[in-house]
Amino acid sequence: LDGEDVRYDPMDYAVPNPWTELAADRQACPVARNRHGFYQALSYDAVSEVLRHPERFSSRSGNNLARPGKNTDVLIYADPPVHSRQRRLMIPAFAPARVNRLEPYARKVADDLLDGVSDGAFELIEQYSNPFAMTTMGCVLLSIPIEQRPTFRRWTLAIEAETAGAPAEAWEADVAECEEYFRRELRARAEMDDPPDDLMTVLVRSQLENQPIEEDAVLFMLRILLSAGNGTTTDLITNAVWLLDQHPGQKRRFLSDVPGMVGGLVDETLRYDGPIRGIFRTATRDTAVAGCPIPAGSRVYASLMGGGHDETAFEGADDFIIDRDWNTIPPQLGFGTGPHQCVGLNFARLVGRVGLETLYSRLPNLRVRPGFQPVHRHSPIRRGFHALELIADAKQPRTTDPSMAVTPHEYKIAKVAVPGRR
Amino acid sequence: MSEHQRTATVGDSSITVTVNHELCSGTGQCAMRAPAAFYVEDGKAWVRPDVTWDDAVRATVHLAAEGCPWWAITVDEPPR
Repeated sequence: LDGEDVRYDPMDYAVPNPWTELAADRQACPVARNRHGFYQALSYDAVSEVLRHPERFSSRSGNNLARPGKNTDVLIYADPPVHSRQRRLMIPAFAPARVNRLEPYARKVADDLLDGVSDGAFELIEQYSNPFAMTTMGCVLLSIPIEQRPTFRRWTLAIEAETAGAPAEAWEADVAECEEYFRRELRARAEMDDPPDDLMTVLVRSQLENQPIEEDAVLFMLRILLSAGNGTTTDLITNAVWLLDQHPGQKRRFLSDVPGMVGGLVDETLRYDGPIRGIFRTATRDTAVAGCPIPAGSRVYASLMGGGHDETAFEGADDFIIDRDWNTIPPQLGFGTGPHQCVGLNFARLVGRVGLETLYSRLPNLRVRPGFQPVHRHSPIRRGFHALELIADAKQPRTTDPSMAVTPHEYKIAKVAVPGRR
Repeated sequence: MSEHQRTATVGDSSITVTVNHELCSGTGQCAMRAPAAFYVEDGKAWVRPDVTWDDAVRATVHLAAEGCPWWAITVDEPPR
C-alpha cells in the first residue's frame, strides 16, 4: 500500500467520519506512506509502538506544521532526557490527589455558567464548554483573568491553526499578541516578592541543570499548556455531546444514570472521537513498524483515531458504547501513550466528567438544534467543531450553593514532592 | 502520603519498590514495560505479590521506574 492507493488522508477534511477508510487501510497494511509522503500508523499496536519509542521516533520539530524548525526541545517538541526534566516541573500541578481537590470549584463554575443559559438556542462551545474548561484549568494554572476568556480563546485557536500548518495570516498576529502577553506576565513574576501560585511562577522560578529555563522556552511551554489545556478539554465536552446526540440509544442509557456513566462516556469519547486526532514524529534511523520499512528522516503520523477504531483492540470499534468495561480491554489512546502521555489527563478527566455531568443533570432534554450540521476545524492533529448549536429547555435547579466561597486559590499548586532520578 | 510498597529479598540482597499513589495516574506504562512486576487496578499501579525477582525482572522494573511519566515509582536496591 503506497501513495495514492492509501485511502485514509488525515489532511482531507471532506470525510468527517473516516472509519471505513481507516479500516480498509489498516486491513491492507497498518503502516503505509500516504500521498503527502509521510508514513501513517493506523493500528492500535503500530500507534503504541511509535509513541512508546522516542529513540526511534523523535518529537523534535515534529508537530508544528507551519514552523517545523521553530521551538524544538520544549515539552511535546522534545525527546528524553530534556523532555523528562521539563515534564517533571509540571507534575505537582497535575498530580491526581491535587487535581481532585478542584472538583467542588469545577461544579460551582459549571452551575454558574448554566444559570446563564435560557430556554432556546444555545451554542455549546462559546456559552459552556470553552468558558468551563478555561475557568477550571486556565484560570487556575495560568491565572487567566476571567473577563479575558474570549481573548484567550482567540489565541488558543491561532496556536492550533499554526500547528495545523494554516497560512501565516490566519494566526501570526494573534500568536505574537499571546506570546507578548505571557512575556510580560513572566517578567512581572520574576520581580514579585509574592507571585501568584500558578504554573507561570513555577516555570519562571525553576531551574533545569542549575540554569534558569530560557524565556523563549518558558513562553513556548505556556503556549503548549494553553492550547493543550483548554483547547482539548473544550473539544472533549463538545465531541461527547455530539456523539450522544448521534447515538440516541446511548444517550438514553447515559440519562438513566448520569453520575454513574459519565466516566465511561469520557473514556469512550476519547477512544471514538477524542480531541487529538493524531501526532507527528520523525524517524531517527532506518526502522520498521508492523513490517513496514520507514527510512531515517521520514515524518511519521501516529493516528490516535486509527488506533482507537482498531477492531483487534476494541470489539465493535466503530460503535459508540459508553459502558465498556475498561478493566478488561486495552487502554484507549486518546491521551497518547509512552513518555509524552498527556500530563494533564487527570485535569482533563475532571473537566470532562464534571462538565458533562452538570450539563446533562441540569439539561436532560438537551439536543442538537434540528437541521444543524457541525463543521470540524481543519487539522490533522486536533479534532473539534467550530460550533455546536443546541436547544436547551426544562432546566433543572442547580445543586451547588451559588454563594459558596470556593475559589481556585484555595487549591494551591501543592508542594507535592516529586522524586528525582538517577 | 498515600503509597504502596513491596520489599523482596533476592539472594543476599533486597529490593524495595514504591509506588506513590499521590502521583500515580494509573495509565499502566509500568505494566507495559514490566508486566511481571506491575499491574493496574482501581486507577493505580501495584506491585504484584508473587514476583520472581530475577535479574531480567529487576532490569525491567528499573526501566519502568525511569520511564514512569508521573515520577511515581522508586526502586531501592542496596548495593551488593
